[in-house]
Amino acid sequence: MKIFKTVLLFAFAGFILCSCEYEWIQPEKQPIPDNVSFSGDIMPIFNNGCNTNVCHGAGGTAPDLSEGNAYNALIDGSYVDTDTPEASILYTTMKSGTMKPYTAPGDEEIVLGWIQQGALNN
Amino acid sequence: MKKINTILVIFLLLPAFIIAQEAPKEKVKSKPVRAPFSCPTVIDYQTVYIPTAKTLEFVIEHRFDKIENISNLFGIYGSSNIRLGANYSITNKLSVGYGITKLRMLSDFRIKYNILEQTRDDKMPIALTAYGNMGIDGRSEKYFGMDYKFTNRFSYYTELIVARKFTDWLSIQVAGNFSHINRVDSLMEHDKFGITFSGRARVSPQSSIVFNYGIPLNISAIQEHTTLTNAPQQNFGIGYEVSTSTHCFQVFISSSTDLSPQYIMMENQNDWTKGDLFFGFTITRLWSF
Repeated sequence: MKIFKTVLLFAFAGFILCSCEYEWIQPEKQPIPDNVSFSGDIMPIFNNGCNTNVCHGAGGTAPDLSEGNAYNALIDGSYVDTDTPEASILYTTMKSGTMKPYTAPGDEEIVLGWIQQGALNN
Repeated sequence: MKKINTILVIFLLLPAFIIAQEAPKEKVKSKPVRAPFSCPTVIDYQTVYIPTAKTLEFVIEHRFDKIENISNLFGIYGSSNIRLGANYSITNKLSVGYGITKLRMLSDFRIKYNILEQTRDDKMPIALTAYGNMGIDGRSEKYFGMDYKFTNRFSYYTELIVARKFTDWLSIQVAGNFSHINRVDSLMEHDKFGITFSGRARVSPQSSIVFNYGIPLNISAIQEHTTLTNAPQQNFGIGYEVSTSTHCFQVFISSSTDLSPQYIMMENQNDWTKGDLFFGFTITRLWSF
């Protein structure tokens, strides 16, 4: 039993040491369109996990990012700041805040592009 | 007749004399203190406690949304994070386990080994336990960017926990830990040392007040960035624990939404001093085989 435990311990330690890496996430290059479309570019991001169930779906946690409600919820709730787009709550939360684990690399830059272009309901 | 009686008395008392002669030769073994902690976890962190051999634990950890106001019922009606896990004690000193967490779809494999036990006679004044886990991020490949490899999903956490039961009602533990995540965002660090403090103050035979406090250490010697853009915040939690021999129930407030210690140490952006707090509970069920 003692030998078994020792072998197990060394195997576990060896596995951990061999699989330690130091890599950075390099976002897939997603060109930001000249005219970011809320319905064509932003809503697909929200539909990819944000507005399901009780998260940010209808009747869930604010802001309501469901189809038909997302734009008004973002504008009325002051989640978007067109004067200082980088300070928008929507962007900072996706970039480095609590929603970062749910944001695919590069998606937050499309959202920033949309805000920089005036956050239009297009 | 008197002679026979004397021989009989000596004969009957002989075993007692023999036992009395042998007794000092027996080595008195120090007994470990009774339950410095009653649960394998204290809010967000591990304790030195390992259930007895051949015990299966089933653990449900739940964290609600941020406590805001009555409109989201102080976080209870908001989004949640859940971990379901099972641990098995192979011996009285060694347990292994597996769990899966909703956030990041994280699977974790864990091992816990009790190196030293605090004894009642204080020959060993502390308990010392080693804990390690390996997490595998289960989200889709797109979250890892270009040049994806499966090992990009791995993260690790190792710690040494030192605990002492000071009185029947008070136990305190301190742990030094190291976290590593294989692939991180360009603003993040790969490694982080940390220290945690946890405690239990018993208020009745089955219930206790529990607390923990985690401090990520920003050591410039191992930092990859000269300045930290999103330095992880210190983690605070306080709660109420009820435990029996087969159950453990904790309800608490914590500043962490993560249920994985490496991500709490490396990515927690919730500042408890600014009111970033969350209700949560942990239910542990134990079966002995």
